[in-house]
Amino acid sequence: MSVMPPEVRGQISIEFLILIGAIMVMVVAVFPFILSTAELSKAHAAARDGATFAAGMRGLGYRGADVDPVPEGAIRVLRVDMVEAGNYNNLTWYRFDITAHAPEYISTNTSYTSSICGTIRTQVLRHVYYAFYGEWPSGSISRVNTARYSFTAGCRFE
Amino acid sequence: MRAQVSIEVALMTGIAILVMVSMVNLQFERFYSAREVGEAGEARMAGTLLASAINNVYASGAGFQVHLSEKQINFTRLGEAGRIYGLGVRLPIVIDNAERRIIIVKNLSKTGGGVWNVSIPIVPNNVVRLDPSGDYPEVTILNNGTNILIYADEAHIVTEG
Repeated sequence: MSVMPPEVRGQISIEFLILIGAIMVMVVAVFPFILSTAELSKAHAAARDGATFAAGMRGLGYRGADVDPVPEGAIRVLRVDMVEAGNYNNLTWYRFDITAHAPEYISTNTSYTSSICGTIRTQVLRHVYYAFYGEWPSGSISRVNTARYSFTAGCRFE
Repeated sequence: MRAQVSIEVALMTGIAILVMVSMVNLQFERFYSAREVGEAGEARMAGTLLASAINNVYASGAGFQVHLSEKQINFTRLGEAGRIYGLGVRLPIVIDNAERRIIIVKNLSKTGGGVWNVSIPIVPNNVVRLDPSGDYPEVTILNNGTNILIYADEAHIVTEG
């Protein structure tokens, strides 16, 4: 076993320092991109949660106090697409396009579908709001604004 | 040089902790949401069972009775708030004679839904609640030829209309 002289032990190699420096430069360079992507991912995940929660509850027949009744049935969320919709007050505007599916006796009745879509849109935006602000908004909301983005929601049945 | 933790391990551990902490909030929210939807489904099933029992007793004529034991409808379990942070069902369950419906109310404010309700249709409009007794334990439903009597605690079921 070779024994290193005391002045050589516990040294970090110059390669390692260069590597750390390069990594730090790269991290700093892509940090804004990472932050904005993380914000969009968080919003998208929250939107999915809100949509499935709304579809599940309306499918069971539950409704809010002033919401029209809809017969219960298997309501499924097929897709939650995030579409760039332009700008809103200097914020990048993204719209969540939710595509849902329901049995024919529900999906062919426009008053039923508009009632369910209303619940889905509201819950999507409420969940997005909660994801960013940590509290549930009071009442119904039609838009959620964050530091970089503005989110709205649309819904249709297929 | 032995028993040293490398700088890479320390860095990776730090990053892993950051990622996990950021995910905890989202995962807990999903857990609560699933819990509340599950409770809502359970409450709806209890309401459907109650409605079918009332309808059967009504259709079977005078003298017919059905007993739903705690195994079928457990009010303690339904109304229990704080069970893994679920908010339970708002008791009592309302039987609305005028609307011919059983109304179950669920507080979903923890998952952003506010107070929601589900109504299950029933056939008779003459359901009368009475306190349970030794002969008619909770929940017994009896057709006495005039009314549909439901023996249940006032804190669990009430009738209106």
